[in-house]
Amino acid sequence: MSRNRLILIGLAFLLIVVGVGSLLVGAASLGPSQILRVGLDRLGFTTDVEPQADSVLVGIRLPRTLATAFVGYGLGVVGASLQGVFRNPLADSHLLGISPAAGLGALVGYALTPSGATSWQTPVIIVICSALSGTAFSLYLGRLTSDAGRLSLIGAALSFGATAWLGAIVLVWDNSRVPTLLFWIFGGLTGATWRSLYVVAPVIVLAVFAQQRTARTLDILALGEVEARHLGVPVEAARRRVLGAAGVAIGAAVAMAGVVGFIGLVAPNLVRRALGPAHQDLLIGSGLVGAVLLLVADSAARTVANPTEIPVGLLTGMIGAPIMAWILIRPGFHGRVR
Amino acid sequence: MGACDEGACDEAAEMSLRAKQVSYRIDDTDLVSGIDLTVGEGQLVAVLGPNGAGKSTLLQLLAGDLKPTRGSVQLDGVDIGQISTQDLALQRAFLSQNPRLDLDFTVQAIVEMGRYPHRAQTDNSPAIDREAVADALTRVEITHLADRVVGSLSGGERQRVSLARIIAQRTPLLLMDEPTTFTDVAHQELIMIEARRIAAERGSVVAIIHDLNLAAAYADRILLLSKGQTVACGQPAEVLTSETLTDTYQLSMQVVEHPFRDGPLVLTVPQEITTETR
Repeated sequence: MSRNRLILIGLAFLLIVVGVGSLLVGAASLGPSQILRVGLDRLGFTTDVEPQADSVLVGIRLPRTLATAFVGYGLGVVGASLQGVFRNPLADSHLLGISPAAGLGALVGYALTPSGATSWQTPVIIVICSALSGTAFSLYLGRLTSDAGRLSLIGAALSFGATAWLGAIVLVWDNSRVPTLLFWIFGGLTGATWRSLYVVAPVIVLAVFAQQRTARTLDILALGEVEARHLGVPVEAARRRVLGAAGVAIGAAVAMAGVVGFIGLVAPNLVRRALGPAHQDLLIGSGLVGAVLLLVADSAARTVANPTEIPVGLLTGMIGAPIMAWILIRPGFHGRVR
Repeated sequence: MGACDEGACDEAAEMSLRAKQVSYRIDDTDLVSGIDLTVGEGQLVAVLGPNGAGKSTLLQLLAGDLKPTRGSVQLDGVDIGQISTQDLALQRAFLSQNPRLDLDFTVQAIVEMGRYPHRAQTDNSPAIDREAVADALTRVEITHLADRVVGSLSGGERQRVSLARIIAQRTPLLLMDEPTTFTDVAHQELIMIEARRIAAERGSVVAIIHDLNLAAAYADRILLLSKGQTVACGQPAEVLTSETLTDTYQLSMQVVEHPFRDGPLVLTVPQEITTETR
């Protein structure tokens, strides 16, 4: 078996461990034995389960853990594909403004949702608005310039602007909603329910699948646009495909979890050294690491200041910023994806 | 003597690449103007000329990278602008002057990229891909480097990796912008021998070459450019004459009979140091 495959299997195993671990964490204390008993009970073996344990675990924690894994995986994959398509290791949906743009869209969707909407309609409307906004923005970004350096700066400026608008709209719109709506800006998985998971997860899966299919094209793009064209890649169309899928994935992720930064930036940079530059493995590895990082961050968000929950976007920032600085400072950094 | 098209220059029975009165103009400057060139199957055409003569521009026009402001470029009778990016990649490969190869991909992975245009072809298979890649690595003598990271190689080695990638692409037309850059003398010969073999096996090769004697030794025909225009075109012995070269390069040159084979040998004649500079 190839070395890369072993690494990917190892990461998948790590994801399962971290995922199970995150089920143990929360306001109510549940031990591993209780989790095991609930699991057995649900599988048809009758055990003496307290109904409260079952409802906390299956009703609250399991959908949250799954949602966190899906969102983290999506953020990691999108980070890797953006870094590939812009040939820039600092490309990231947050830094480029795609996530804040999707956040604005989600907010609009939230505002547009009629008061009599069913609990199914609400997440659907929000996801559609968020994905449309994220996709439109990322496609617009791709048309501006192909110069990765300039693009990062443009994206940073637009990202700052979108974040500012997001904050201003929430404040002006309805002051009393500030606490609950802060999570669009700082990110958080408090709203993860089975229902929202059913809406968001398929969208992320489809977008991630679309990204995975462009893996070989992303490899060719590493040679530069001219060479890629000589090898038969219609560069603009390929870029649109990658950015479109990225926008959809980010839209869905943001609708679920708000704007969560750094996962997409850090995950690909952490695994690239181990897996090499080929995107077939890099995308999967980035997704797995993204899911692991977000699960760890969300578990920490729920526990460090218990009973107060810290928005997970703040935690990923606290952890991600120094990692990013380390990536920039270390001698092996070349300012571009190699 | 002017056009590389009719008469003596049109030896090709089966035409594959044809440029007709092709010009490229940018900001009121003609980078290339009114060039005729026909490259038939089995032929290797060398494009020569001083810096800024329009060689690279011409090659980009022939590749379909640039759209001629006047004239046309045709591949097997079809205007190159009408061929899709995907189809074009099955018909012509291009060796750039400075390929971006400071990458972490292995040599093997880079050469495999040459098979990308074939991925959706029904007559292609993983076995064919493997064979084409292995063959390309062997031809430019880099099989032993297959697992090395390409960014860690020397300039000359990288140049051969790029060449292997182009060879693995297996197109009937090969365009090469200075294929021998960064390579040592032995590998310059190897590359030119390989270019000749590709022309014989699969189609036609157009290469920009700076070394006049390398062109004289390996090219069927030479197109000599200066200031965007054709100075001369024809067989090496016709084009490489003392007067033409001295005139074109503004450097005194003498062409003599090659002592070991048929054909010309170009020698530069050192300028006498004038009294002023002394």
